[in-house]
Formats: sequence, structure tokens, C-alpha cells
Amino acid sequence: MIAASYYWYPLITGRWYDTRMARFQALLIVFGSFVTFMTLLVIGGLGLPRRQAIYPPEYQLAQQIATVGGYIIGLSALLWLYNMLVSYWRGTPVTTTDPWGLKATSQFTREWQWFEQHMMDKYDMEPTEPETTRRSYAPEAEPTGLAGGVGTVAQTVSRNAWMAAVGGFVGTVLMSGGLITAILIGVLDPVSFGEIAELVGLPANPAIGAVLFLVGGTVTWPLLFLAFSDYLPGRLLFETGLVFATLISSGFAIAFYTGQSGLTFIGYLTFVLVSHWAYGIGLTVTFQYLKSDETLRSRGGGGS
Amino acid sequence: MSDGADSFVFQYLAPFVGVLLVAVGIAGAVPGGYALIEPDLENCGNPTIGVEGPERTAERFSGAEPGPRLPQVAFEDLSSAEQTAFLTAVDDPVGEQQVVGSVPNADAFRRGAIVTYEGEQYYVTLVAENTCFAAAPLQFPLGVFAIALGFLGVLAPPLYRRLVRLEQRAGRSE
Repeated sequence: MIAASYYWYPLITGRWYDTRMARFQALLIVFGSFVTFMTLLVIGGLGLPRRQAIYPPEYQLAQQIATVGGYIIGLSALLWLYNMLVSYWRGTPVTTTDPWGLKATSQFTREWQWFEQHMMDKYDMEPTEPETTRRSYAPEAEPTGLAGGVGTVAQTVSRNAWMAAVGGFVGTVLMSGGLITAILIGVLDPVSFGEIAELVGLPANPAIGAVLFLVGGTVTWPLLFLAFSDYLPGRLLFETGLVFATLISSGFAIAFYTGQSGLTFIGYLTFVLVSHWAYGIGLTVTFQYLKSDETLRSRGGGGS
Repeated sequence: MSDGADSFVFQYLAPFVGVLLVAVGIAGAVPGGYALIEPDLENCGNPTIGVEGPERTAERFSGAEPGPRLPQVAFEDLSSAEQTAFLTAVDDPVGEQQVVGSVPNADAFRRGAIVTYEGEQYYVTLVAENTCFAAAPLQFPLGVFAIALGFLGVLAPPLYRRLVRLEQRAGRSE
């Protein structure tokens, strides 16, 4: 609710709030919530009885800490209220039709389009034009979907999906090398692959899990990557692939964790991360290799 | 297209981290590897015993009243490895010999024991434990892995330039 109020405040009031105070307030509420609810979570886990007016004395200190956190939340809520109210009269007026720079990322949604029109009508403003806009995930040199282009959107998408699947397969093979090494030196338990099979309702067999792992690495993750690569950091595709691999490695690390500790845990995390990097590199480099091959062929075909 | 060929992370940070990883890897892999092969290289894990002859033993304990209450062990009760080491130590000019095999009387030797052999008493002590170098079993494989990863980091700049060329061929980089 607070985030939404900050987001739409310029649209609703035509003024800016104190952004510095807003940042401080956001940090304060995050900190307060953490102190309050983590403490309650912990003492709940330790056995604090629920729905009782008084609690056992051993929880007193923790309850006091949680109370302090609660006051911090209250203070941040008051700061928010003050900022909202005072800025309504004293806030700097908005002087752009795109206060959040949404056009640059193709997120200029309907309500902001309305706002732009409103600002143009009321204050005779010029529509804001961004310096750059984010590229699409695989910009084509030629227009797609037009007669005389390189094919329909469906053809482009299916071609990209096919290349991504090949890349995903290569990446999964590379990644398997790392994971097999991890199993051999004893930092990864192969039994955890059986849990993947269990997740989809099959028997908890590591072999079935490994097959599903290959299918996921060849189909699911590459398609997700195609869909999200545009929204991930990285100027070059392989950099984006590394970011993507790092993100999905965190899920893997949690899902395949089997109680490793000490040096084994460090080895486990390292192998998981590096194996995923191998996957990201394999996926994107193969994709780009196939793409460059295709580009060469299409140029050759166009020239002849 | 020149902006794609310039990356602080891949051209400076990765080689630097790579060098650190190689250094850490060597520091881990060398002792870790030594711990793995040490038992094959030398007879670690077996203690060395020192044996004093009957005269020195009598001299050492004659004045003490009441005498020290040392464990008394008959030669026949020693294990075969202990017997071999005992006999070799008796003939040794320094009077020491490493036991190669099981040492069931290690505790007695650690405190000092009197071994009775052919009616005479010998004072036997443990003079060196010869413990094997201890390292975590994962130290060697993880060290080797860190070295390999470090090399990749050091080689990151030329690899990066190759990947940039590939991306440019694919027509994606801006």
C-alpha cells in the first residue's frame, strides 16, 4: 500500500513527495518489520503459546524487542502520513509527463498515458521522449511478420525457441559435468535428484529425476530465459545468461540441500554456482553461435 | 559496437579474482594432497619407542624409594611389531626404533614401562608419536577445483573478447 501510494502520488496530486524521507521511511519500516516479526517467528518456533493474554516470563526480552520493532513500524507509518499530507501542499510540482521514466522500459501503462494527456491539456506540456528504449530480446535486422520479411512472428519465435532448446541441452550437459564432479567428491547427494521426480508425482528415483532435470534444462529454463532475458542485467547475451544462471542456482541450492555443513557446504555452494554458470554460458553461447550461423546464411542467401 | 568489448568485470575483476583463487587453491590443494599420500610416502601414524638397557634402567630407578609404579610388561605380551621394534632398539646405538604395525601397549609406553626380557628389565618409553598430517578430505579436490576455476578467471579477458566477437556476428550487441 505504501509502495503504491509513492508510485501513484505524482499522478494523483501532480506533486512530488520528499523522496529522501520516503527512502528513509521505507528502510525504517523494513527494519521495524524485520525486528518485530522475525523475533515473533523465532519465539513462536521456540514454543510461545498462542491466543493467551499473558505469556511465560522466559519470552519477556524477546517480546520487548518485538515491541520496540512495533514502535519503529509505527514511527515509519507516521513519517509516511506526514510526507503524504505535507507534500500535498508543499511538494515540488511534477514537470514531466513521464515521472518514472517508464517509456524507456516500455512500461508506460494506461494510467500514465492518461496523466500525460492531462498534463498536456492542462499545462501545455510536451510528451517526454526517452533517450533510449530497451531493445527486444532478439531484435531482427529486418521487420518480422511482414510480407518480404524473414518470416512471421510465429516462425521467429519457434526458431528462437528451437535454438534456445539446443543451447539448453548443451548447457545442461556442461552443467552435468560439474554436478557429477560434485557427486564424486561427495559434496552433492544424488538422492536429492529423486526429489524432483517426487515433485511431479513420480517415484523418488534419482534416474527419473535426472531425466526430468535434463528436460527442464533443455525446455523449461531456456524458454524462461528467452522470456525474461530482456528484463535481466547484462549488455551481452552471455552476461545476461550468467545473471540468469546465478538466479536459478539459488533455487537449486535450496532444493538440493541435504544438510551439508562446513567445507562440504562451501564446496556444495561453489559447485552449484559454477555448474550453473557453465549452463548459462552453454545456453547463450550455443544460442548466439546458431544465430550467427543463421545470420550468415540469410545474408549469403539475400546477396545471391 | 565498441561498448560491448569493454567490461570491467571480465577484463579486470575476473583475472584478479582468478589469481586469488589459484593462490587459495594451491594453499588448499598442496597440504590436502600431501595428507592423502603421506601414509604411502612414510610410515606415519606409528610411534617410535626408546629402550634403555638393564644397567641404565637399574641406575634410573635404584635410588627412588618407594620406586615409581611403572607398568610392568613381559616381552612375550608385546605385539609382534612391538617385539621387533624392541629388539631392534636394543641393538640400536641411540636405542630408538619405530614400531611398524599395531601398538596395543602405546598407553603404557607413553607413560614409560618396564619390559622384562630374558630376566632383565628394560625401560621403554614412547619418544615420538609420528602423527600423520591432518587435513580435511575435501581440501584437495576443492583446492584443485579452485585452481582450475582461477585459471578460467585469468583467461577471462581473451575468452570475453571471443564471446564479444560471437555476439557481434549474431547481430545482438549494440
